[in-house]
Amino acid sequence: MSTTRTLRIGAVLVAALALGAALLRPAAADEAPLSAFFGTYVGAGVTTGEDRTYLGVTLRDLDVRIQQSASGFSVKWTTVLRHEDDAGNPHQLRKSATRTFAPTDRPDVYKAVRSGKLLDGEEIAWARIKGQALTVYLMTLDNAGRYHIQSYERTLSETGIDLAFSHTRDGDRIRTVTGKLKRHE
Amino acid sequence: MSRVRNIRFPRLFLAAGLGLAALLPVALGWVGLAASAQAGEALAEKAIELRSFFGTYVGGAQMAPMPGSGETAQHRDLDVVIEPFKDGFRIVWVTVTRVDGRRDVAGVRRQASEQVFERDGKHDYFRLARKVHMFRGTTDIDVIAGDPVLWARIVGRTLSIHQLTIDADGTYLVQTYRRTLAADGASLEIDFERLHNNAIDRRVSGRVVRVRDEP
Repeated sequence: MSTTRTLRIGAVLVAALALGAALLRPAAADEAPLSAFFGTYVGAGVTTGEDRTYLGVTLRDLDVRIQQSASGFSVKWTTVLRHEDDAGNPHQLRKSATRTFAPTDRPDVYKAVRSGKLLDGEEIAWARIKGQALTVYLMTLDNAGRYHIQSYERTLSETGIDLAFSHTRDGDRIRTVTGKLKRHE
Repeated sequence: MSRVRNIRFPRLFLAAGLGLAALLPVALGWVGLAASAQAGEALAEKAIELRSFFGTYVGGAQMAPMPGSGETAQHRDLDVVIEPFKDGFRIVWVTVTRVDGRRDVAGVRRQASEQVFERDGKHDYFRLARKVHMFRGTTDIDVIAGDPVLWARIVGRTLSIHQLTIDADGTYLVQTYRRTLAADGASLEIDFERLHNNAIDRRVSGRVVRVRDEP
């Protein structure tokens, strides 16, 4: 067996063990297991805030897919913004993003595989499970040193998940979104 | 009747035209005012020189209890030194938290801290200078593992220092110290706030005055 092949098998085994540990980790207190969040969810939300980009936009269609990945899990979310009085033509602005997370040494805390260096102008991203909620955080610094933190808290409900999104800039909450998403089989 | 209308309409258009012409300077004036207001804001935002902050200051601050926190107001004595370091600065501060307004009884707490910031080569902020270990050199910061990340910036007359930490449970804290230099340069207004997972849970405000640093 070649050294390369041995290393590859070793890497696969380590990743499998890490994923197994994350999935099978006994729930600390009442923490939901990671696998409880896996699924596809579809719903809608309401925006509040003073962000000029979203002025006049109060409704948004939400779509999220949380699934197992090689080393942890990935979250893909799509948002379609539409005007309240323009429901017949909802494709005003469509945004989509995906982040993949791997377990860390800290229980129920995950780090984005591509999390960068904040002070180099790169995004850092992490996630945590607390109770029935999986929260994803994205943080960046702009060129002037102002910080932006976006958090997506997704809480398991009887029919799917409830979303509470918040965008904070330099300590000021500039936009929030609350929504309900149903599990889509 | 229709003839009268035919005559009146051109007059109406003429009146409207004259009205608009009269309003044009006013409208332009508003545009000018708006432009000058924007320029004023831009001017107000223009950062003062870092060296303006250099000095030694003493004073105090009050921690305002947050509603529902059950905390009581606390007075803190402050001692701040800001001095040049390479192309950045060093800041040293001492905080003494009094007990019932006194600092000569048991339970008084003293915290001293020192930080050095270097100007970032690519961005308009300063970053905490990394300590170089004799054998390991510098080590990478892993913020998600709990290492704090610090940066500083000047906006207008305010020098702000931010510190981000991520707790063991994945929640985050951003602590911000804002030190605003008075127009005469004789004092600094101090504002501290702590953002804990999207909500501000602590505020401290105070004032320090510039003093002569005796040898």
